[in-house]
Amino acid sequence: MSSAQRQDLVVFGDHSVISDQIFQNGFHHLITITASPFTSPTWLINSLVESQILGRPYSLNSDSSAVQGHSRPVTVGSFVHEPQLFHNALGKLKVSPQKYKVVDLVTDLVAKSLGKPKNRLYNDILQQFPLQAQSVIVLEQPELLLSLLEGSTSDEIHSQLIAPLMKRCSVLILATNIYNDGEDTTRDSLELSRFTLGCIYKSIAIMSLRPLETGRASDVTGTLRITRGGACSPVHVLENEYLYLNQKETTRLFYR
Amino acid sequence: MSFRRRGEVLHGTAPRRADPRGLPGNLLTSRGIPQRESSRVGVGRILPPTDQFTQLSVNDSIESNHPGVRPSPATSQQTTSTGCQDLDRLLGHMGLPLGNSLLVEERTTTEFNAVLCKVFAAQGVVHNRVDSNKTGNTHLIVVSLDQSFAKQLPGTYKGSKKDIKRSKIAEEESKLTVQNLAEQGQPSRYNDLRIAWRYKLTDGGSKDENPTYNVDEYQNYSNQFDITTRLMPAPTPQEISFLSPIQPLQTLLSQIDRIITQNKGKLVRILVPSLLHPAMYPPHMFKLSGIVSLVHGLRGIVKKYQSRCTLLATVSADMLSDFMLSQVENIFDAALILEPFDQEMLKFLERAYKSQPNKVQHGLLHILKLPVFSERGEMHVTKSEFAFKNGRKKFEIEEWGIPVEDNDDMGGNTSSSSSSTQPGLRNESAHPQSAEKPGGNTTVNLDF
Repeated sequence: MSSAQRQDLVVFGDHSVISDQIFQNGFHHLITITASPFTSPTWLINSLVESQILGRPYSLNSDSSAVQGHSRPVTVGSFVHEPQLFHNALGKLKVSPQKYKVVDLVTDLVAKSLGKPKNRLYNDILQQFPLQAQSVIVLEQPELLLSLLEGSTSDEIHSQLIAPLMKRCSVLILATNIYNDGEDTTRDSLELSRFTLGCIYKSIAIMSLRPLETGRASDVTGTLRITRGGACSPVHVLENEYLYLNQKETTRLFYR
Repeated sequence: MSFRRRGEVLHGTAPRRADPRGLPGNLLTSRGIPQRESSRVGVGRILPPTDQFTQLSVNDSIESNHPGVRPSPATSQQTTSTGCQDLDRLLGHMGLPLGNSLLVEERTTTEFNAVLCKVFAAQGVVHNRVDSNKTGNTHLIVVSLDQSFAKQLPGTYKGSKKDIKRSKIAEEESKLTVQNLAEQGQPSRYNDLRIAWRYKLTDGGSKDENPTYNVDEYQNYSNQFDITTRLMPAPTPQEISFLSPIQPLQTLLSQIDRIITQNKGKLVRILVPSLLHPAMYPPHMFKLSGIVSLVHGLRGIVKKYQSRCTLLATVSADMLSDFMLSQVENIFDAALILEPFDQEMLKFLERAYKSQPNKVQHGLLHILKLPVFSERGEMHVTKSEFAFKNGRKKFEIEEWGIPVEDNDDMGGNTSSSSSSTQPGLRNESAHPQSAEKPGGNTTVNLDF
């Protein structure tokens, strides 16, 4: 079987999920995961965390010849999911809790943000993520701040949260939801679209999760499409599309 | 050979059997598997298993024998009933898993969601009253201005009129009167017949219909409610707390937090009926930041107390913009849509089910997200696959198929499902229930 026909998750041209070359030269990179509201990217986030800690996403890649990467410190933060969810899922993948950190951005976020200047809130969120070179930060649904904080804009979140967060690590993985309604021209929906577009332009790679266009099926959950982003990547991104089946806490990828 | 009773306690500290698989001194830790800290509990003396459990940290969880909690058959997570058995089944866990939130949206101007709210609340109160000797095991928090809601909760369904009459007779007969004592002396064949008849009832009862519900094992887990009756006595402030949505958000969230903390060890069911009802919510809540802050704050609380807290909210979908609705749906763990039929469709169904008016459905039920499953990444969006109908004794959810109006009035069999002929509908072989139902009833009539 040739390497191109493997049904393993490969994002970069050196047959890695996140290439080691990206962590060299002290640059900061962004990878974006986009998902529809009803195809949660939790499994993909967990697999990426697993690949960074164990060197390979064992839960997805069964092929032992896949490239083994280095183990790196990972910090995960989510605006919708509680830390326990990640601890449970990563525990099942046999990832040691000492090797990653989960930042709680769900509990008491509203209570903390009410009546507080936005700058301080952004700063408080930033302070929870450790400043570490050669590390990976995963942030889920930061666009929720657009809805939570009155008057916040896409530019503001990019300049005060995303850009400083990128400087705290080598690779920032952003998971964001896409809202598709071309006819909706309200300020809120435009800001959300601008935020997503901003992420795509800044990214070196984009992983897009979508449900099947034909509707729900029992043997396929959706498609995972890997494409290049707007930023220049030091390693070639293998543009590819997979079908995936998410069933009973396991995910299988199929080459399309 | 002697046998030991199963329940008998083994005394003394008998030497433990050596592990036949391992060599002496060859511990598991040598293979790199970390030793569990809990093993230290038994150092020096062997504790009975129950003692070891008591030493585990279970500070903020509900009692293990809570009547309203059972493990999910799909994920083994602790789950509580919504008060509607069909909804419990639809959610895939035989209820709503603790630490999860459910949003029920309703289109048009109907109020079917109010029934779900009432049975959700009533179920909590009924759980709380299962063991009358204790201080209670469940508390309900309702975020609403309408305090009369507590008096509108439905009572449990006590059977048909015949069943109620029979139970009254039995009650009368059990009283100590001269007449009853005189009748007790003579053996009556009617008693035997009654017992046989009862056995017959249980044979064909609901046990076979709901094998996964485990009615015997979880007797008080889920109740059936009669919406024409009222829960008596009405819930007290010890059972239900009303919080006003008009007050500042921070106050509201801190009050909910305080009530949960006060009701330590109890299951807390949070109910938000008619979210963003214009008569109950201040104007600033209709901004995106207002409603998302409220819902995110509630989610934060439910996740904080996830071992003993659930949330149900209902909203009229027509009052919110699509974008706002999508943001609210995003924060909930599960989301369903009730889409009632318009008058034309209802008239059609009434014509089709002329001889069986109780089969007329009231609307479609769409699934957007299911608790736990959707969070994992599974896709569970199903549209127009289920229909609901609201009856006196039940809010039913069943698979949907458009009945075909039959013009031939042959023996009153006026309808049959034509799912195989209708585009976009389910396959007949995949869902044989609705295709068989009308025919099945005809057979019953002929047998009689």
